[in-house]
Amino acid sequence: MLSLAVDVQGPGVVRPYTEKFGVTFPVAVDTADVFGQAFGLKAIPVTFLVDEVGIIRLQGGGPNAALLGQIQSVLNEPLTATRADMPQLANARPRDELQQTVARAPDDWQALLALARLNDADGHFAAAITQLETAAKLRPRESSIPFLWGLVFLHQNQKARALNKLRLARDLDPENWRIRKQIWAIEHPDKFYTSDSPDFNWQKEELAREKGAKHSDQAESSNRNESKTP
Amino acid sequence: MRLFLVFAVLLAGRSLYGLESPKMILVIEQSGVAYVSASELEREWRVAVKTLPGHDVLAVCSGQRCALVKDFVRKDKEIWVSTPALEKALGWKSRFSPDRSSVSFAFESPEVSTTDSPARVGQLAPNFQVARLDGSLVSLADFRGKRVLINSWASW
Repeated sequence: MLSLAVDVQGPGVVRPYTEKFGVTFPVAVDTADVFGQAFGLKAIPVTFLVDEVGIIRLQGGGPNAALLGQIQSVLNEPLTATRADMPQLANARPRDELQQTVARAPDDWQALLALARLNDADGHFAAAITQLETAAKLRPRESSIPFLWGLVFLHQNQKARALNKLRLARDLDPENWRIRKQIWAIEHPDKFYTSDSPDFNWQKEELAREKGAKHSDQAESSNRNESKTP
Repeated sequence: MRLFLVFAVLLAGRSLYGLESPKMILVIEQSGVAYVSASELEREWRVAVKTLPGHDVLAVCSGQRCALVKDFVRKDKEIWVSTPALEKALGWKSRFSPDRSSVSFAFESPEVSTTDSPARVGQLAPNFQVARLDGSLVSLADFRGKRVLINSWASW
């Protein structure tokens, strides 16, 4: 089993959590959003079962009886000898290959994003931001770009700038609960980490506030548009 | 004439698939459609044919290519996949024996591809690498040949 925490804040927030619940199995942390991007994560908990060939056989939320039954039926199958070739994530290409791609095709925003991710992981934050700026100009509505940009700021402890970018990512992808909850956890750690469980009533109120703000923004802009028409 | 046809089929198979002789596998016909067994596909052609729990489709994968297939039957405790569905799923061409009792396949070797699209059920899981809490690295490829349950959660 691969137990994967998708907290972009990193092991610092994950470790106390695993210690609190007495978790003994190994846990990995997706600080750079590699798994999140690869598997299109919008909400958690999420469970995937990958078989011995490499095929994703199941996707579900948290474990429930039906999911456990389905998992068991796959586990009961005899093992096959065939192994498929694992596709390589575009963002897992080696640095020099990405640099060549970007030099050859300056509008390849995905290569830019992948390069920025590598630079962020290596602590070359300025280079990462340069790449993200270019990628954002090419694809202004792509949420993974401001999301990574937010992480780059977060990794430099620039929380306010990080939150600005993360909020932009959330507004571009409003159904992405992962982004939303991550913002809340950074802004209001007291609502997540100080008691036994996160404050879900507060989260409902925050969501209503967010939606209310959006409606009043839309009303304002449509008023402006109406007043513009001759 | 028949000998010529057989020879031509063999030659065609060789030129497209290199110097190996084509591996012919058994065909059964149902309602005019040819089907081949999942176990022979796996043994002779390294094609993985897997059911997806909760769905009435198969995932058919070879190399890096996977597709969902609906045209299959269950017979004699075996799954049989239609050859047209297989051709469409994998981009292969069927090469039937003259009496259509067996078939082999021809295809071009696909390039190793990179993917940016999110992984889905029935597709191949892309490799990724993350760090454990103790700092050691783990990648999905480390679990190759085993079944792995990925449980994703967060502190929030």
